[in-house]
Amino acid sequence: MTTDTTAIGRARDFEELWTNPRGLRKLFTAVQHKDVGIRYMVTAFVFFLVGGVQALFMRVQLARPDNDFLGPETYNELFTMHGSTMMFLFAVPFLEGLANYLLPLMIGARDLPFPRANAFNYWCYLIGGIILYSSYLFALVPDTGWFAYVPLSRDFTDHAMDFWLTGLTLAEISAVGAAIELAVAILVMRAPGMSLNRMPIFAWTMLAVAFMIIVAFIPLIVASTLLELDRTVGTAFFDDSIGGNPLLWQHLFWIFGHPEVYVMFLPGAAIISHVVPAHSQQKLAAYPLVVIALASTAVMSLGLWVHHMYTVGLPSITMSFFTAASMSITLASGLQVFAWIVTLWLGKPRFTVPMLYALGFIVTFVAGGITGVMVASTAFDQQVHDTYFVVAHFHYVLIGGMLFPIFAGLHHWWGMLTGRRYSERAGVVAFWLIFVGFHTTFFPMHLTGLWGMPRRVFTYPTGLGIDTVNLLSTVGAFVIAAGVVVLTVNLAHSAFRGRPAVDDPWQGDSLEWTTSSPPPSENWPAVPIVASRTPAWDEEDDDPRYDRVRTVFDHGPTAVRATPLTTPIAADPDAAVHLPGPTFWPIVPPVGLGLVAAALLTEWYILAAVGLAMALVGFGGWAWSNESGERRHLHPESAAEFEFERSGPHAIGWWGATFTAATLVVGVSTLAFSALYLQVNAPVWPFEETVGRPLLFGGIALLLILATAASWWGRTSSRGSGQKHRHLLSIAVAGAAGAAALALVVVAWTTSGLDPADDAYQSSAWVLLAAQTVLAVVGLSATGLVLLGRLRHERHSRAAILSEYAALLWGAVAVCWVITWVTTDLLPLAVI
Amino acid sequence: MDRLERDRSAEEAPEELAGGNGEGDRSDGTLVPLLTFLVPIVAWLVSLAGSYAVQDFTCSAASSVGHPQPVAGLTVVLIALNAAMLAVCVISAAVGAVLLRRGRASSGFRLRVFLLVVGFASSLFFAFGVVLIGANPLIYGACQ
Repeated sequence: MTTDTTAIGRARDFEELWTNPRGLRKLFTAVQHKDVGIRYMVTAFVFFLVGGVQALFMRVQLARPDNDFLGPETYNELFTMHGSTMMFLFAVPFLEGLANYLLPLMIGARDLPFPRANAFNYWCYLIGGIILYSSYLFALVPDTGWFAYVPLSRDFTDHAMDFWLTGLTLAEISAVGAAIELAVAILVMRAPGMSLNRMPIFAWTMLAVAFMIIVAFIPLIVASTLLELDRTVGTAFFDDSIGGNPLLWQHLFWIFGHPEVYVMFLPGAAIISHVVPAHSQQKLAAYPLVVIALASTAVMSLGLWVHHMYTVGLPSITMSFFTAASMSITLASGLQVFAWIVTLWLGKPRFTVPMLYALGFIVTFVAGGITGVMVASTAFDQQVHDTYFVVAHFHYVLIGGMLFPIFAGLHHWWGMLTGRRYSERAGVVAFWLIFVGFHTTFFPMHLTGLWGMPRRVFTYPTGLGIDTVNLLSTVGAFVIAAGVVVLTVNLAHSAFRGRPAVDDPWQGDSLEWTTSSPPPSENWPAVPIVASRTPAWDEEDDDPRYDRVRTVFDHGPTAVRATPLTTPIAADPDAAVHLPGPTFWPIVPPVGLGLVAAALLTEWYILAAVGLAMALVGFGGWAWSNESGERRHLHPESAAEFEFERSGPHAIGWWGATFTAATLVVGVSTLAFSALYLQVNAPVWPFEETVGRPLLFGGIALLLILATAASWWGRTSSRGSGQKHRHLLSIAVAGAAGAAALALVVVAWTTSGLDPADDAYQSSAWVLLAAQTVLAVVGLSATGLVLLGRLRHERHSRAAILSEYAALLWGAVAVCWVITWVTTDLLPLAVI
Repeated sequence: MDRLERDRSAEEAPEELAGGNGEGDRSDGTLVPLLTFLVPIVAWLVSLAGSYAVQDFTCSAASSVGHPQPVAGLTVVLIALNAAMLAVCVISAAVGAVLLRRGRASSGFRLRVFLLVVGFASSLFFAFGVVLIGANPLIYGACQ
């Protein structure tokens, strides 16, 4: 009786702990993965509908020759906004939203590791999108294509491109943040027992995608910043008269752009790897080969960017390296296709709506893949480059490889997302409209392109033999639109009025189907233990190794929201993490940053000061509330069983700091690569002389090393009485060394006689030093957080782990400084 | 190991790869298997990025200042670089194959076996990728 009463009380306390606010307050304060995921998906879907309408306008214009429905300027704006919207505001954010929602459910976690940062990322994305679309209010709509090639985007446009650059940079920052979030979750928040060989394909994929985003999206952020500086400050990165090079933009853009295609395709393929087994009642065939395929695809996608540049005059041997890489990646994609076919062959396929989209995906993606092999060949690509053949190819890959899987996934997980059932009949009708409409639209474009019609032209003269195929494409586009309307109405209607869904309508194999649909706030009252790759089809593991987890995380803990942490390879439970509740702080800094962007675009600089102040207050309040939360949760009952403040790779903070450090190094390395690229293509480098201040630069290096070492020294947390003093001393030394380094970097930046508008060398050195100034501020902020942690808590462990994270960041700042110094002073001497 | 044991471990292998229930999914001894997975990836990246950067940057730098392009030297460097990366992939595959035989023989440790299978197969795959890249300097001259 007493035991029962205790259990009931514990369950009630636990439920109360995980209760969230409702209504408008929930919209602005909820930070849980499901809420943020839904926000991402709804926002991205709205952008998708807007981008689709833009496509319809373009198709109406191209329906017949010499049409004057749209003028050339409007057409340019439409294809720019259509491409930018679909690539930056729909595809990646929607997949990140889906991953936000599903990933914790698939890996058995109660939330993502940094829920507030996750909400921050969403608001950055939304504000980035609003900035881009606010260009319509000012009649300054970007019109240089979604790839924004220079010199078009540099010299021949008004403020329109500034909207594009600032809006999309915010959206890309959000994507990088989300990538770090997902990667850390997959590495250390998997359910006990979910070792790497049992990880769902979606988790493997998102881990690979996170790696790709961190490596590939940073170059676009850097490139956008350089282009904005060229446009506003007058730097010379893309000005070939003073050492710049327009091709640098193409390199940086496609270093991002090609992996971006796989960032969209791989999650799409992963969705299919879940839909096909569930709807065939058959385990996914060749799981290890699928893992190899997606890992290989992720790696190889980083080495294909030059195949977008076969017509810019590169040496044959350079192009041949990238042709070889492009051919290799087709094998990896082929492996996955065969795995799905074998799964279908061995199973008992049910032709449900998700399965129809999955089959539509396989057919369409294989066709797009074959034309991909064709354009990977230099000789063929040079013939069809910038024709409608390429438009057909990439729509087959993107709509086939990403949109069909998204629709498959939406129908597959709809019950889980909403708890409602949609109309099967309307779902089937929508599928056939979209499938037939798609092939009617885009298959003729292969012919339009082969017959010579170039891309990005607003009209064409009659008599070229391309009238009928263009009309056919337009008819197909409206059939797709009809399908999307049916799909949208069906899903929207079912979300509000649909019949209740059962928990597991498809008898799915993966872990998310073991909880209710929709899942409760905490996902699982008792954290699941995983014993196989298909946990929903197999018994839970009763291994006594997991008894502690069962005890602590069955309707517990009741004092704090928490989930267990596990080891990255074998998923053995070894720590736990607090999860925050609702808070409004994550929305404040993005609004501030949005105001800064608006101020720069409108040249109303007082607003920039307000925005900056708002962002700083937001970050400060966030940090303060974070430490307050940690202060309240001093002794949760689970702390005796699972340590909440472990150091090293046992902590989410360590992984977060490591990934953040990696993004800083990738960013500065991209700047160094850009400078080296300009150097080897310039007849003279440097144009006058190098910065050449070895004493100053050496001093900065020593100070940064000192800040790193002091922070590292402060990471210990023994129980001795001198521990607090040790922390304070390490903070004082790191803070002083960091502040001195910052001051000297500013001195180097402002007193080295660098004029960024003079030539490309000075632009490079000036920007590198400016970037280093920002990095030093990042390091100092980290030390500030250690101080806050030390002053707010009596216990030593909090300050110790914060000090460790600060050491990682200071280490990255020091590495970046070495790269900067080598680029400004050593490379000009070492390379001709 | 006698023949009977060998046959039994071969029968168990598909179940091991299927990640089924049972004892033995531990992280012990997973470092080398993990390396057989990661090292070929790095080798392929070095092969492609190195071939591109060494060739393109050297040729561009030489031509931009009017120096003669070091074609012969570059060709040797490219071939040597890719031969070395190919060797890394082959060694990784060999290590994976040897450990895989031992891993299967010892039964259990499905995680380790999984990593070895993935490492072995990806080593072969990336070795093929390096061959495709490394063959080019034999066909085209550097800076062409």
